[in-house]
Amino acid sequence: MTMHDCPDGAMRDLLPLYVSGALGTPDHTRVEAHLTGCADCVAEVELLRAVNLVYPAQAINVANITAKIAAPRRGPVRTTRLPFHRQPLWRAAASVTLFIVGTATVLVVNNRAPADSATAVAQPAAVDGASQTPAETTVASNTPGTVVRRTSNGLLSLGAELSDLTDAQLQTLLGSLEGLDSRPQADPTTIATPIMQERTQAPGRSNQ
Amino acid sequence: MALAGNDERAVDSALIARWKAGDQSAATAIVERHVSALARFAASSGEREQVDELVQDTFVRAFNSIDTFRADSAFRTWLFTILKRLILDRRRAERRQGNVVELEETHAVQAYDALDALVADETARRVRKAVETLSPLQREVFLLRVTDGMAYSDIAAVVGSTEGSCRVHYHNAMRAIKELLNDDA
Repeated sequence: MTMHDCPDGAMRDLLPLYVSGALGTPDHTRVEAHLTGCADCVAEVELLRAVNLVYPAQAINVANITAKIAAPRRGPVRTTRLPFHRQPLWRAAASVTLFIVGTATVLVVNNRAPADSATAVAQPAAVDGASQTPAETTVASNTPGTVVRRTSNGLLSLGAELSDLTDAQLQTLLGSLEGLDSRPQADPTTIATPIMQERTQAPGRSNQ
Repeated sequence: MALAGNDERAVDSALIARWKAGDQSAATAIVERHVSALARFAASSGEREQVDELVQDTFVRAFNSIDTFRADSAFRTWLFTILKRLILDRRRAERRQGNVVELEETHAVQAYDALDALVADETARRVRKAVETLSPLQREVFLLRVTDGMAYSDIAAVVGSTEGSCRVHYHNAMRAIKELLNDDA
């Protein structure tokens, strides 16, 4: 008997799954309905069944296989090696380095901050013409190079790190800091004045 | 009727979870579910002498690395890819040792000539001969589709090709077999 192809390609695609029993119920029913009226597909199904008979399931001793399967390992097990940048040790080292660099940066910035702030506060005074360099008075100094200064604006600046100060110096510093609590960091009027002056002077300048 | 694809996956996932929890009987259930299909695939790939060993190695390897199974594909498909790799590794090793077992089309036909005598049904004998004349890739695709009812996407994962290409291989194989049988008749 000569075999031909059914023109319904989608149906022909389902035939091997129908023969091997891999179709769900709706498709199985659809194929069976199609087979009642399609001789080409019936012939193809017979051919596919013959293929299944020619290549039967092989008998294998399951017990032999399961005996060689090791018991499952408990807990999460990673069998794949992570890339270098994702390995835990590398991540920990990177975190520690980042922490050290960050801390050092903060310390350096903090050590410079008092001098900068003193300059920043002194700037408006310079604009006002009251003083070009703020006068400084030493609050406490027992060790050469360790100086706590009070600027003309009443602000303190450190000449060394806090860890270099003696207990007496720290007490003095704390006392001074408590006195600063009620005072604003920068007097808004002294900062605002030059700006306001510029704004008020601006029309005058344009008139000139 | 067999379970639909999603149900099959659910059953496999449940069994794998049970095995991971320490239930050794789940391993037996998993092996029983897939052993025949794997053995048939190994045999149809020309590894009749080593089917037992290949299938056993496949399961041992699969269970040893079951944590790497991501369930992106069906568990059976994953097993097939392991088996396929084992077969290719074995052939490579044998080629290095000088035991060339490259399966040429004519070799396959000759290899099964002896078995033909045992096949009582004349139609079955002709069908076998027709299938063995297919190219190795066509034969793999065709048999995975016909004997295991695999989806084209899963077949593509096993043979390392695309879904569309596998569909073409299947229909070309079917046409070739029909033509051969028609000529034979």
